[in-house]
Amino acid sequence: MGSKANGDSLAPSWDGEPGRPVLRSGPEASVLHQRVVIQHPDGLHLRPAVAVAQAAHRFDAEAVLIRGDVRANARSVMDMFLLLAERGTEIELEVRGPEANGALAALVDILTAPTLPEADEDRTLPPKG
Amino acid sequence: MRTSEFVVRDAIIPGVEATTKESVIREMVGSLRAAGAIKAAAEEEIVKAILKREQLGSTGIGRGVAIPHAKHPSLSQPIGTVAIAKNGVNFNSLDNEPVHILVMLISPQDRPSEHLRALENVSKSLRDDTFCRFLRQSGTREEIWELLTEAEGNK
Repeated sequence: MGSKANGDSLAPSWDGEPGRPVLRSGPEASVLHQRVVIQHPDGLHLRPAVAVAQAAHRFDAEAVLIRGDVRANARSVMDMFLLLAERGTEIELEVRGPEANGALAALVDILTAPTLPEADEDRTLPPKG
Repeated sequence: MRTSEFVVRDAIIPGVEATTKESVIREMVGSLRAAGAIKAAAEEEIVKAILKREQLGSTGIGRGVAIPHAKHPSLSQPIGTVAIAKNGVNFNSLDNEPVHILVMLISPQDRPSEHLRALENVSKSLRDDTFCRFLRQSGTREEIWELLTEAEGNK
């Protein structure tokens, strides 16, 4: 996916670069946007999705993960599964609320980490000879 | 991959008897073995892999749903089963609520895309409150299978 792939009419216009937050002032509250590329080898599977949901609950902010026309509430693991975000998938984060800055930083950290603490998930058993 | 493509129909458990996380997982893996979906020799390893995964963080994702899973080299394609726990099981879920619907997924090594697609399809169905309510009310394997396949048709 190219950096300007969100050119269709459904997707929000985008004028930033991946890895750099963009502040947009709206009529009600400011909304932070940032694009991230999923780095975990297995994509946004259950464990990173749970980490995202837990982080999203810690902040007084509303966070949404967007891929094309699919929008996932960052507090819902099941929502995030619908993004089908494999490694290398670009996701746009949209965060608003009093603690949007903190929430955005926390979510970016999780989504762009190549592994999670204690990772190695599911790689529990080496093949037996 | 659609839910009915990885769920082993004969391994579905409409009324799971176990009441703890470990015993439910053992009952579900045992059902997959009894249905011929996994080899008896791999059963204990798979149980241990799923329990080890649970130690990293519960797969109870809230709203009464858990997705216990693991990877295992003996498999050539993802397989799984569904169990309904009428009385609920303490799964240390995200929302601390007991789990009533369990979807187990066991994948081959290094097939992350299929794993994600399986989770996507399970989620599409389970986000529907009506679907979950009917699933919990199901009394037989056939009813659960009907619900799973009907939900796919409605997508």
